[in-house]
Amino acid sequence: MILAVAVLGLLRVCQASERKFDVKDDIFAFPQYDVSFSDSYVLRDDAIAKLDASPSHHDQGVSLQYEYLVGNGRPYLCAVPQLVLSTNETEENAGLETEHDLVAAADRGWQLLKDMEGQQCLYYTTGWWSYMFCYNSYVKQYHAGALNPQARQWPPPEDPNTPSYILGSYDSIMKKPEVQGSPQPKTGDLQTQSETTFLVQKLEGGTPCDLTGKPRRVEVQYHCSPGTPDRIGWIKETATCAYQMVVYTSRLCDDVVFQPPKEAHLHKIECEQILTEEEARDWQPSSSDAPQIDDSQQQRIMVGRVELGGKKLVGGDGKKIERGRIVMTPEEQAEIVVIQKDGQIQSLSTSELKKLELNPDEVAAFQKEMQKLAGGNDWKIERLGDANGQLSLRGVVDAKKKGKEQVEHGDEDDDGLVEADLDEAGSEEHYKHEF
Amino acid sequence: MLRAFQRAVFGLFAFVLISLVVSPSYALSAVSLAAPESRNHASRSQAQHAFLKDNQGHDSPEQARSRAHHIWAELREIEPTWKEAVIDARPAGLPATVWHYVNKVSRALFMNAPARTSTAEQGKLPVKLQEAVDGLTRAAHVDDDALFLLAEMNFYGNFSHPRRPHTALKAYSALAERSGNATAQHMLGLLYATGLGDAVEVDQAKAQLYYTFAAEQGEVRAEMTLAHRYHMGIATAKSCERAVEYYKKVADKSMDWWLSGPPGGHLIQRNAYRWADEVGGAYGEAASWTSSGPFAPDKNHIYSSFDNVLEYLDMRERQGDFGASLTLGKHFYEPPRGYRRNLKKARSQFMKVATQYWSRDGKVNPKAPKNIEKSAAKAAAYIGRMFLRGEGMEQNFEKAATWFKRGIASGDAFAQYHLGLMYRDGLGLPRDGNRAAAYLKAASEQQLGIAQSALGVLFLDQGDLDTAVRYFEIAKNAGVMEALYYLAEFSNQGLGRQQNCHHAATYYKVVAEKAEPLHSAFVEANSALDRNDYERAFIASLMAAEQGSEPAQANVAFLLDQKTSLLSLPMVPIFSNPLESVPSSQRTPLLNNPKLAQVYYTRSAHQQNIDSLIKAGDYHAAGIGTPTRTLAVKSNKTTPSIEAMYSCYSTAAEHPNAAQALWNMGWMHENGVGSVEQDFHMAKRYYDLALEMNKEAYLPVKLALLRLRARSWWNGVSGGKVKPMEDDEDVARKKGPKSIKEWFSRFIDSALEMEAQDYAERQAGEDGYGDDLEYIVNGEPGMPGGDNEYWYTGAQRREADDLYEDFDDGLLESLIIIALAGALAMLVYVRAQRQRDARANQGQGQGQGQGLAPGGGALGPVGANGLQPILAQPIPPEQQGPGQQGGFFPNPGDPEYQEWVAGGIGH
Repeated sequence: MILAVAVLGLLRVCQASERKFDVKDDIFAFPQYDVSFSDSYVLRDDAIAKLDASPSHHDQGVSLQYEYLVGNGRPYLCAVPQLVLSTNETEENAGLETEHDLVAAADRGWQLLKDMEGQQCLYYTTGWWSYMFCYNSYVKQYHAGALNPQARQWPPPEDPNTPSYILGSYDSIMKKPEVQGSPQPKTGDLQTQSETTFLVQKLEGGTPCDLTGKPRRVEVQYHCSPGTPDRIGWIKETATCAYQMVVYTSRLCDDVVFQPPKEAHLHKIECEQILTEEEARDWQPSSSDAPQIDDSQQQRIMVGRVELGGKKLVGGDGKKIERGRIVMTPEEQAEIVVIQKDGQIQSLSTSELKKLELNPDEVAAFQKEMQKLAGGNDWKIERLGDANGQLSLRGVVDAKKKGKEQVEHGDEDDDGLVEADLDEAGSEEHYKHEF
Repeated sequence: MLRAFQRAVFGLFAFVLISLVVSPSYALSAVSLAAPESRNHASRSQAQHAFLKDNQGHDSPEQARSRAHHIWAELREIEPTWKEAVIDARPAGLPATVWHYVNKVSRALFMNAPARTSTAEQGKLPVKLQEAVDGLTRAAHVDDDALFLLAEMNFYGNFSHPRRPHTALKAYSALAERSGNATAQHMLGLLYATGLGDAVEVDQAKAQLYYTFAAEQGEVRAEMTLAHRYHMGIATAKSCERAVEYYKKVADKSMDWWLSGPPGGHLIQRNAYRWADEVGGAYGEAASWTSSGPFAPDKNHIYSSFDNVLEYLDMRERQGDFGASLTLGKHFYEPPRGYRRNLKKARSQFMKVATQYWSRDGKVNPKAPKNIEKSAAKAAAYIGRMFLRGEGMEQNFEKAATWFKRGIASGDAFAQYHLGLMYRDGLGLPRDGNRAAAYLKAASEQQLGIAQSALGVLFLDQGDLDTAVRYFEIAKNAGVMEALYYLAEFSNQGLGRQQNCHHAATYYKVVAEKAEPLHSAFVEANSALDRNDYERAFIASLMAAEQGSEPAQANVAFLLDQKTSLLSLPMVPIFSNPLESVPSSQRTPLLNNPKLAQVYYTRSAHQQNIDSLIKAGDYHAAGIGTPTRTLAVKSNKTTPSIEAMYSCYSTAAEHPNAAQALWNMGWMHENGVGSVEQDFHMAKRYYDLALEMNKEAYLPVKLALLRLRARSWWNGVSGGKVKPMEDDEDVARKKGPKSIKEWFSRFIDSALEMEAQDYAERQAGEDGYGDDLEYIVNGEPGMPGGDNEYWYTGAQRREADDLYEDFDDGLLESLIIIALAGALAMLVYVRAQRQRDARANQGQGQGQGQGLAPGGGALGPVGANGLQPILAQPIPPEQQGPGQQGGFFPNPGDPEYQEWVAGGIGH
């Protein structure tokens, strides 16, 4: 009986349990539902019986309410799970029922994190302050001051002129009397929030706070975050000189306890087509529309209603349209102004130069400069359009003997300095006229 | 598939047209398209039709149909006179202007009353309407159109029919069951999702089910709703892929809709906007995120209404300014939101300019005014466009081309673009892709976004993906829907770039939302609001809100919102609250739904509306919308969630320029609410930041700081547990005061000390750094920084200095505080008395913490919008239980609030 199987599939315990508030969740974020269309069918008489029955209660406290719907001219019977409240609060804790389990899970967690010791410290920068966190060591707040503010350095170097503060240190935990005595030092707790289980360490004994007179303290939370390197998620000051920090690490994900909740809470609403006896005889489960790709089809890429390279509008006659200047990079916009080829100099007329917003005198001066630089080689002067509307001239020396040389020349100003910089390949020399 | 699509589009028209009553024929064919499939399988479903059985006498199908159509025609007569969905542009010319204002005034005087009967009125219908309803009900037994019409009337309140969501639900389910009508299924989804008008209990499972079926049948609104639900994780697991799947469907239809228009596509106008913004945002002028900080109205810029603009242009035109004539024409051609298009006037304006430059035979007039060339070319392009599209004149490609060529002679981009289209599509000209490309390229070089996008499509057709992408990227900056659509396609298919679901979803969503008329009735909602027809505005907005439109979500919440803020008290009752969106006298049951307000505040907040996020926090504080054990069960018990509130406020405070959130955070730290430690120093820091973000908050912040000092002092002299603002080692303080005199002297001392501390802080801050402002403005997440020197930015320091100039005399300040403290002691006494009374009435005391002894007086938080200090909310330091850090929400006017205070915190 296909039907029976389908119904049995729904006999899961559907429970809705209380949830921690998460600011990112919609008011109706939970419970979650998903509608699926079953490959099986239900006979008309059975469907009527189910629709007529009052919501049926099953052993596990789940009841299904049936809805009759019509889609694309076909009748369907859909089973909507009616959720009951779970009375079992610890259920969320992925089987962590007893105190013992909790302790064991925490121990496993700390074991997993052990490798973080000796690894590189983690850094985090937000605004003025940067933070450095070294596992089982300390958290430090400092101002990053690089000698060269342009260069982005990582990790951010500490500015020696600004005081830094220790927000909390691992020693403070180890010094605690209850920890000292025990053979296996307990360094933190296991906590569960919003269905996520994570480890917490409370580091104390930081630099004394001017305002409270007490040492700074920081709470460090370790969350599983699959597939990413260890990193500090965020850090914030929850009270004066009291901080909270979240560290994301994939290490914890090795233990199922710390993994983020799966989609186990997705409640299926299953819909089956309703058939009469006769219809059922000819019934074939809708073959999961195996896409029949024929090879010629596969080559065609449709973007919206347009076929990529379909040549319906342009290109059918062999002509090609070229991109406009507005989408060209400055490189592509280069236009030859003067060129020496095989010793022959060709140049644009004065009026053409003026059209290109170039000063003929300046071009002439640059031309002389180029001839000097190029020696016997061929060369050319190009006009470069710039993104911000600034024009410049570029001289390129043919690379036959001396390597390709480039001279760039700014527009509209006469007494600039010539500055040459060799680019890495060494094949091109780059001269730029700056003002 | 095609049929399903047709049906969806038609169903949509049915909605729009029925609402606006333009032409009946489409609407009726809509339902008849849905194959009537009378397979009445289940007896239970027959019970659902019970309401149909009330009437005796059945029609034959033919009779029913003709009856339905007849009634439909009759009903249109009943429709009230305010069909006009949009306001006409203000007429020019003196007599017309006078008439306009007379009209306006008389409307204001006599016609201000709501035009509709509300849902509340379940009285008898007018005779004619009742007859129509009876007739329809009879026909509805067999005719789907009649049933559909009945449902729509009960839902939307068409033809003066009262809105009866419950009846609508029954009619929709009967129709959905009988014919599988997609529109009906969508409406059922909507009713189950929102529980509108208590028609049915909110049932997200059924909502998901009905939406899914409607979407499967191609109902565009359902597709959009499901896309939003998957995108945001509403009653289903978040899934970017599925969101994209549905958004793509809607975006495809949006593009089809756009292309189905005249050459150049349908006019795309944005009518979705946040109503709250018109009154300065959800928290009022200057206090709201949308009206403060960088969003604050520029004081140097005079904002004028469209009417004033027209008046000014009119004047300029009389002075012979042809630029003004052209601008007027453009205003008439593409009017701003809420104004009706006037093609006739637009045409005459454009002609006015064009004929100054060209003579009849198309020659340039030698006597044309100087500098008119560019304006004339633009006018020519518009005239050509109107000919091309048949707008205000008969479509005529030949004339259109002539005008475009005139415009192109002067290098006008708009004309180039249109001529390009004519060549591309072969409109009156031979089809020629290369020439089309040449014209489009010329227009593109002149930064015309639509041309860049159209050219991008040509490159796509040629197979040059790289160039196409470049064109779409620059056209995207101009917000061109077509460009966004193709970029979405590229991101979705990973063409020319990395496949990126998130980008695709975002772009598709923008595309879908640009095609407003396809799925939403923003024009109707806006004009209904103008008429104070709140229910109609609500229904139209609600539907768009379910479909994920952020402005609509904010608008629904705004309509349903009943309080400016839970943290503020209407201190001076003389001033009516300008932010109360709906007068309480008109708050019909349909509009009395704070839970739904919270739902949409939350959704709007998830789409980056910071005011909504803070509002959501307010609602959580009042216990509205916080997840509880009672699942989907309506309960009137509210459980305030301080944690949720804190979560909302702190998230909002991480955003740049969220002064209100910073303020609220300061307040929470000041009072130590929930798990937030009472910490005067943190409070001060937040208050200062709030001021930094929003200069208008000067008075409230200063008052709060004054209060904070007073409390800090009290905390000190009474040996309270809150430490930060003072020195722990000072043992003398801990002993507590012995006489009033000693109190006062200590008070002054502590005030002076804090002054000194502040001064030291400022000094320390002087040698700070320059880019801190940027860092605060750019707002990295979290509350970074430790020692507060670095929280003081230059501007803030200046502000602080100003303050200290005002209050330089520490003694004066102290005296003020003493005076305040005295007044507060009084108030505290009165309040304690009142509470005792209240408790006596309740008959039982719920724990301690209520016997409020006179304590460090505190002014309640100051209203966000107002600059009004609020009545005393004293904190009794001596009697605070260990878990009770004092601090509660000063909203004593609210009965729930008392209950909450009594039993809520720390127990």
